[in-house]
Amino acid sequence: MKENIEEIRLTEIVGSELCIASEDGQKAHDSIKRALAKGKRVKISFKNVDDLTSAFLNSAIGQLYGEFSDDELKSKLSVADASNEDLVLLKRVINRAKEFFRDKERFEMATRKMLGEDDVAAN
Amino acid sequence: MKNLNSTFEGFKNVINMHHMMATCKDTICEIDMSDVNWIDANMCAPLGGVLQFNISENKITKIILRDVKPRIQDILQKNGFLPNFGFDVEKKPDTYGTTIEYQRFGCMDSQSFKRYIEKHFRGKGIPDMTPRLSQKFRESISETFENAIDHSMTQVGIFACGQYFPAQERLDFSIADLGIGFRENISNCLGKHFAPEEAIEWALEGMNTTRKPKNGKPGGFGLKLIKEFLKLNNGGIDIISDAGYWSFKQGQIYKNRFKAPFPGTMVNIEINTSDAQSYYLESEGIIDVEDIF
Repeated sequence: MKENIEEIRLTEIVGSELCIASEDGQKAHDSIKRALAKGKRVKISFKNVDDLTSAFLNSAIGQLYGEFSDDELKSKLSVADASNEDLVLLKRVINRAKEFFRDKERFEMATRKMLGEDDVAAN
Repeated sequence: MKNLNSTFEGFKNVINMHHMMATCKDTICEIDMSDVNWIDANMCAPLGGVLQFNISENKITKIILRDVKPRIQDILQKNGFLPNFGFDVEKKPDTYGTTIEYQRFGCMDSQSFKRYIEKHFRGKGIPDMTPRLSQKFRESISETFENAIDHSMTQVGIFACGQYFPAQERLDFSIADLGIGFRENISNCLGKHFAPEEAIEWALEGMNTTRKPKNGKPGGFGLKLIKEFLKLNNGGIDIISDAGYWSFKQGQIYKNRFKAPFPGTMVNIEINTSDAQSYYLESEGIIDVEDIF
């Protein structure tokens, strides 16, 4: 039986070996999210990636942590063809994203406190 | 105008020029260049930014340069700065491969910046820099550019220019935007009020970011990564935003304040081109690919 897994090659989505722009990361994110929403496992391939930025990875992968649970992403995402350097940057982006979204409730409470409940409700 | 070095004094000279022009209205701006004996070519980025800003605000309509010394004219012709401001001069060839062209980018134009990187840095690289260092440099300026897009909300554009100084074994690259600076951004987003130089420092520390989880995207550590890299490279970074000056060189932080604000943010990255070591990312050990998410 064919495994329900989709490979997403970053350079194919971006159309370049430069995975540096946040807007390109957004394209990668949309593809990954679509596949996850269909219940697929996703293999993210870094094959031929030359330059890589945190801006790209935050868009492509970091924001997924605000849309799916940590456990779901851990069980469904995998990485292929990445250099150790790519992996170190990705790991930092992921750790930061987890922390960022973990703070969501705390942050929103602080914002409500700062602005007053009515201001938040009006937004 | 005075000399434009990539120093506090040089940035101050750009700011002073801006404030002189900002008092005008539909004026032909004549710049006296007789005291200018040197321009670090990368400083064309903030200089071009303030000229363009004042043109877009209808403060000035035309620029005339008076008493330009031949070697200054040479610098401004080699990096393509002059044709951007209506000067009918040809771009001079970059005989020594040390010039990184001046360019203005649209406020959301990541794709043009990618083409700029492809054109100027990929394949040929920078002379005397290892391929790895070249890559770290490209990634650093890309992070800076993305940071400008993300935070500045500029309508005037983002300005970039660089210069390699072989004798000093350094490469300077500047990116300027004429948008919302660090202090205002932090104040608007978080309600925190800092002195301008402290606002820059805050943005470069730990987990600090002005991004909000409800907007969906984490971020805010591109400049922190650059600082880590430049510490190991023994290079430097200057950030000017509002009236704040924050500089990190040879592992030391310097802060200062200008008398008047810059109407946006300028970042100057200085690479030590003689550095042949590998960088921080590799120093963090081997990452287990099974334990990444």
